[in-house]
Amino acid sequence: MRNPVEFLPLSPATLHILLSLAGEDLHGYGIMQEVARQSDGRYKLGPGTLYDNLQKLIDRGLVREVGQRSGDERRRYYRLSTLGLSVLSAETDRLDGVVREAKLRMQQRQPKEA
Amino acid sequence: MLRSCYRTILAVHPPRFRQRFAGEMLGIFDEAHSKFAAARLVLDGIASLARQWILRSEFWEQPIAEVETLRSSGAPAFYTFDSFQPRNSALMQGAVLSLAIFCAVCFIMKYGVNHAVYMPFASIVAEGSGHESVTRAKHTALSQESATPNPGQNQRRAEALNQEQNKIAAKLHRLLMQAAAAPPAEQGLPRTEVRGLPAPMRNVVPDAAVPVPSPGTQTSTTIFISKQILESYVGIYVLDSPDRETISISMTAGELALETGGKQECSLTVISENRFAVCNGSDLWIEFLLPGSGMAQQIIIHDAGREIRAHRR
Repeated sequence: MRNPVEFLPLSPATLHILLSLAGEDLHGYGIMQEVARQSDGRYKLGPGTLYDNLQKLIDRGLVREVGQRSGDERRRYYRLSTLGLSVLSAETDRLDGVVREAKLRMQQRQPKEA
Repeated sequence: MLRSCYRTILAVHPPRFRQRFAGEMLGIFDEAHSKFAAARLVLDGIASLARQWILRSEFWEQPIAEVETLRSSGAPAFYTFDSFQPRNSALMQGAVLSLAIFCAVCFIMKYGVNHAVYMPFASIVAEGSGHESVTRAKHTALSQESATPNPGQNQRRAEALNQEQNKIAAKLHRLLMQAAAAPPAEQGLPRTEVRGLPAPMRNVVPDAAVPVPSPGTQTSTTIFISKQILESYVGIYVLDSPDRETISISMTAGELALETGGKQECSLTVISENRFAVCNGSDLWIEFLLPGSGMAQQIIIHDAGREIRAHRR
């Protein structure tokens, strides 16, 4: 398996797609809705961007298709792979470090301004 | 209407993307609850179309494994035998071919038309000898020949003419340098003969027309050159040579002199009314071409059958 760090940093669209698939398998429209929910409607993913990113994620092995489900044959479901989960975890750690560093810098700056 | 538009946009996506995602994208479009949302999806589709064709060339092709799977399942499948994306070698060959065609077109444009090249022919013929008409007839024939479209021949002739003009200009320079280096001739002494002819008189003339002995014949004949005619020769002329050098004809105390580049000067010795030897003892001679009246507009410098023209500036 490839090193998850090789895929970092992730673009916002990729991060949101991986994050939306972290909970359960979703179809394309479900991913779009989940991304909008995660960002409180501030980040809306269009189908073009969504499927372009899904194509790349499938090609790199971060996401895989799990086929269709009864009821709607047009919709295919997507699932986060083990590698995708590792990449998401590594990206979360990276972002966590960035946030921690940012908070530390902000705290150091506040007394100077006061 | 918007749905048809969106379907069309999806239909022109790269085959692999279209087969994998077009159905789902159309399903998402059907979920749009307003025309504004549908219009946004159409715009998104256009952006996707550009992105897929411009930035995602690696995803244009349908993987062979997928095609084989589809075929074995009985679904109709199509694929091209050759790669849709041109090979690098094919691109290189195309570039070389395009360059070659471009060069060929430029060559044809440059040499495909018949350029009129001026080809002077020496006409140094003793007057009254009867050869003049023969030379002129030959000149006319050659001129007609040169009028036929033969680009290569015309180019060679032009190059030969340029070389000859350069030679004459260089010779003129050399003569003037020699004249400048030589000690000045004493006043009253006889001049050096031109082409073995008896010592010619300088073209010194008084205000009125006076007889001037000419070296044109073994026995000197007298010709008359008025000061007005000599003055009409004075001026600056630009040589037809590629370097476009200038020569200056001046008159001092009734005597014509030739100067190039403002450095060297050489006297002109009269041969006939409009012909003068350049620097005594040389093979060069100048012919002034006078229009009906007024100043000379053109001169021809002759040198052993070759000639170069100069026009008044």
